[in-house]
Amino acid sequence: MNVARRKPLIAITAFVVVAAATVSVLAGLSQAGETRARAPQPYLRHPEYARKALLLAKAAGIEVTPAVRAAARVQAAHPRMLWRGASARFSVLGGAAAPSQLPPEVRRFAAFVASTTHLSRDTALARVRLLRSTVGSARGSLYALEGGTGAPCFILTHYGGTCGVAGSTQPAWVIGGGGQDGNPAVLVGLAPDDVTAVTLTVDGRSVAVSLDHNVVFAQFPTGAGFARVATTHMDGTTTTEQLSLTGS
Amino acid sequence: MKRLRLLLLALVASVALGWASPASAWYYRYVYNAIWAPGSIAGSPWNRITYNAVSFSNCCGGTPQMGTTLQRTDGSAYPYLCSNSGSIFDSRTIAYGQAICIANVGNGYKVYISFCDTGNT
Repeated sequence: MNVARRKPLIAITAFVVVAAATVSVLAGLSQAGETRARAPQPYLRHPEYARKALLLAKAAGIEVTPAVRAAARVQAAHPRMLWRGASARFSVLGGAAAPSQLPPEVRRFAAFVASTTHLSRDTALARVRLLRSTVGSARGSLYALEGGTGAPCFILTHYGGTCGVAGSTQPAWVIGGGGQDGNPAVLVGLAPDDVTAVTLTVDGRSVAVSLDHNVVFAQFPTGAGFARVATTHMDGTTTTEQLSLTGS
Repeated sequence: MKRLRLLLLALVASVALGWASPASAWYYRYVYNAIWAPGSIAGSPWNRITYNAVSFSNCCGGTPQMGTTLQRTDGSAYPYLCSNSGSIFDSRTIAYGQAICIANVGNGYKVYISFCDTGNT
């Protein structure tokens, strides 16, 4: 085959390859758009589940304590649906970058997480991810890691951190702090994918809260007395926590 | 007599080392395995402090909240850092002060404290 005959063949092959790639990319994009637009479908209704679980437990001869019976009654009265794809997951932990260096306070926090969640210190350090930098007026950095039990743990530098309960649908947060170097008080936490909004009221005044890729953050002046944190979930239910910020 | 001298030397050395410990790495567990009523509070010895941590859990009902702070020698303190998540790691520092952990007065129920730790490691 001479060169003159090869040229059209190469051009046709190249055209087919480019066309196929374009079609597949467009198909992928339309599928992704469809996934985002589609409303989540409920797949588990707690009232049914609670009743069935109680019946099964009784049939199996398992003792149903008053507390379990009360919990089942609460679930039946206020149905809380789990949504397909929604859970106590923290998507941000999967995609965040591993920092090249860790400040001393983050290394100490990793040691704390290691000791309280049964991890080796090296594993805890290796799991640390940088979620945000220059957060708030104190320009802190937010680091997170998954504890040994799967607990979501985080620390905001210049303030501190905590570990949530593994599998809980409630956010893990700390509130208050500040004071050092004139830093304001904060609400900082990690909210599961299931959480759609967090609101904060401090001494009766609403404080703006950001919820972005599982990270909850707000700041307010130090010296506040009382705070109320309300968490709204994908199924529309809201849980509220109230606490004193002065300890007294 | 020689043994007595050696013993005295060892005693002096251990006291000196203990006294010198604020300059070196220091760690202190000031609460361990306790059940606290709302408003209960405890403080560590005075030292340079680089962290204050508490681990707690629900033993007796409600959703217990705890707080941590560092107190200065003049009696003033940083604002409390609070949480109901079961632990607090307070990473604020103080050149010389006292670490404090407190069971929130509004808890309504007792809370189990696994530990309150501080140090300057």
